[in-house]
Amino acid sequence: MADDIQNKDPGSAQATGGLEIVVGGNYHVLAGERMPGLDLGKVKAYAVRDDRTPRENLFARICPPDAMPRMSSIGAVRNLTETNLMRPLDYDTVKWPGIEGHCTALIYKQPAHEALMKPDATTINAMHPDEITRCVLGPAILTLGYMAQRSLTHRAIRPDNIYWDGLLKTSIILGDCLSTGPAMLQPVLFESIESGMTPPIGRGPGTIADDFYALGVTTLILSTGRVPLQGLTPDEIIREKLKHGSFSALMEGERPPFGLRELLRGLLSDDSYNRWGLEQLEQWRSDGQRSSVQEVRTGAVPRSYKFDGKDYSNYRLLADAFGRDMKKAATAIADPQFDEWLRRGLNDHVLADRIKSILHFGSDSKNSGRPGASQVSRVCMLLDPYGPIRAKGVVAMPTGLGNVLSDAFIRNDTSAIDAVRNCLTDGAGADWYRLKGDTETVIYQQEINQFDRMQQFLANKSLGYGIERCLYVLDPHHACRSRIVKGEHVGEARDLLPALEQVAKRTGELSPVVDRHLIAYIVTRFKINIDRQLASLENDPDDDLAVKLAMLTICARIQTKHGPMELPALTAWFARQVEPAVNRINSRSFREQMRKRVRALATGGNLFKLHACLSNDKAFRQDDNARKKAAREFALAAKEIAQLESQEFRDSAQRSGWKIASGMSTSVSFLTVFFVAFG
Amino acid sequence: MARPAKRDARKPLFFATFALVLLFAALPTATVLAIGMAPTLAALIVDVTPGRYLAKCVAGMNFAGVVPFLHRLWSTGHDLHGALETVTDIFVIFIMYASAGLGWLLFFGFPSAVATCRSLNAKRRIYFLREKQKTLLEEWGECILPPGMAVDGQDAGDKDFDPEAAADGAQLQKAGG
Repeated sequence: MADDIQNKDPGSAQATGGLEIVVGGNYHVLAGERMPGLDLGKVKAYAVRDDRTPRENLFARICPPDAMPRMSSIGAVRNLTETNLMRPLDYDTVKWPGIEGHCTALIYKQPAHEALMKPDATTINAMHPDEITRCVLGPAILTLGYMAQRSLTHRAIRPDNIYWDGLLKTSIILGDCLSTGPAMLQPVLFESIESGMTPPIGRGPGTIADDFYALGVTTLILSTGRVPLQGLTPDEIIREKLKHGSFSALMEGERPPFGLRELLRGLLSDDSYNRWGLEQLEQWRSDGQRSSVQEVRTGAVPRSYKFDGKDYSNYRLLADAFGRDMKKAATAIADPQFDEWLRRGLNDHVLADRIKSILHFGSDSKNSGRPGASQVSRVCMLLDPYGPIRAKGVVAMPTGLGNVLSDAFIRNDTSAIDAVRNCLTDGAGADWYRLKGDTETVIYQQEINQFDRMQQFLANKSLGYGIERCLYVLDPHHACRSRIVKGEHVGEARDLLPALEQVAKRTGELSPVVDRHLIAYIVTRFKINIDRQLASLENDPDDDLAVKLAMLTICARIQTKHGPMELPALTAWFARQVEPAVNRINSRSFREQMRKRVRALATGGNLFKLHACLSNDKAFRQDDNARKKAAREFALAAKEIAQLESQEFRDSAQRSGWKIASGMSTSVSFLTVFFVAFG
Repeated sequence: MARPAKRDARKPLFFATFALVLLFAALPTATVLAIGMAPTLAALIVDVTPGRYLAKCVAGMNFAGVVPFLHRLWSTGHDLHGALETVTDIFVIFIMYASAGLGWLLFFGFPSAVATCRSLNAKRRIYFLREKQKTLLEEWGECILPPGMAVDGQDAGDKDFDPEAAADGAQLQKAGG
């Protein structure tokens, strides 16, 4: 971890005291030299010095934990060398002064030129369609194509995050897409309707279609020279888009620039299946092919429905309103007028029947037959199949639930955590895919299976399951939140044992030895079977020794698989704690021998050897067999002693004496007869 | 079980028949035997030991004392006069009864000697076994003790564990149980 903090020139530093934080061994992030022009929301930019290339202009973005940097994409984006994309030169986890927790520092080369548009600007000089095609769309399509090949999405395409490139500004580079969660900083304007309806934290990585939509809005702004729908709130923007269709709403009644009409229609289509993709864009670029995309006003109905005092003439908007007030929505859905509106106003009997069946099979008996939050959520899904999951307290795309849960844990927001837990327990994630129909169910089987697994995890209250397991599964890069490693950053699986080592070194102990987060993290991140140890932890939670032995086993297996090979403080601590385990050995000499061996291993730093020493089943079996044999010998000896001391033994001695005496007497008589007869 | 009872029932009858036959067929011998073997008869009457070892000891030695005089009787004509002469000879009676007395002494003296020898052997064996138990307890602790023998506050790893006391406890329990 890059936490080598050096004190630079105190005079040049301001708030952060002139600190330098070294990332990747070479990049000195100058904490005193802010670069506010490159900030991205709460992600602050700082100057960077690389002594190997002092003339190169670098900067770092310091991402606090709640910025949710896209850790899972960093590696892949770094390798996109042939693209017009701002790629990180290096990254690391750092402790940043003034920020609680660990931050991710991303090192970038400073863009050669300014962004196409300043962040707060509302107008720019309109660009010629040809210039847009050549300088912007060409590189952008190429880059998005490469990203799509690697299943990556950008989700931060907007004019203020695209920079001019080349000496004569003949090209562009797409800005940073890693410093924050996907689409977290995207204004609603640049998001498709369904993504715009979703709070930024829950938008999820989306698909390349979302990037093309944002590219369409960007193209429109560049070509018209103004930001459309200014002064409108996000909700009003969505309403406008739903009312008129995105293309018409964004054009605000004006004619599109010559030559870009079909492109904009294609990119701004509200139907993601009809939206232009790579193939259409390539065709358009090569021969200007104009495949006509009909504008669809998704969700529009001829007859409005009144809900909560407002008329809704679009059922996607109605679903959004239902999601915002589920209690009122439950009442409205139960009202026969709603069914009537579906059948007559919407003229969709199939939808009406599906909603009826949901209400029929899942009415909440506690609420006297009124639909529960779960049913309202399902009705929202049916009304707006591509909209977000609208559950009680949670609005998110299924792929964004991980970020929502992560954010809730980072903020320690228990109500938000409970909301996600309820959403997952309820199976809303899987149903979001299932309710779309058979085709989607087949395509998204993997996602459905994952959400089904989440339900199983939550149903199990044991260690290694529960919401903690869901957190680490849904957010594969969430750092371990165990209080055992508090103060250490365990962002990757390989960081766990070094972190425990640091804790053991710093505090001299691990207290407590296990908690739900630690076990859930281990179970999720390490592909090792620890069912036996989990059972042991579960069955004997108060047996301190059993718990420590189980943890030793788990840590030993992790060390074997992932290293590091030396963990002296942790091994010494474990050795001290599990030494009483040698008392399981019955043989005193073997026990002493084993105790000496454990003490010797305590200094070796190898958990596996310590574990192997204490779990040598063959030796324990031999010891047990020998004990049984010794017990038998002891019992036999006791029996024999008792026999020798008994009255019966004395009696038998007397009987023997009598026998011998009678034998002698008889012999004497025979001898006498013999001598008298033959003597 | 029926056969030994039957045999026991026949035994006195057999001896009575033998005595009668002897009385009529060899009266001089019967006379010497009757007088000479009187201690054996007495031993038979007073003997309550299982196996009738007293009678056997006395009978064997008594018969050894009688046999030489029977031989003399038979070799001197085997007449009643000779028999009466023999049984009235105080020296002869002394020999016969003294040999029977040796039988008594044998019965009373020999078992004690044997018991003493065996007791000494047993003590040596007990010492050896106790040492063995002590060694076992030192090595294995109370886990090898029979159930119910565990001493409170002592376990296999207890340094204050006293194997000697535990071994004695095991004997006491064994003796009690």
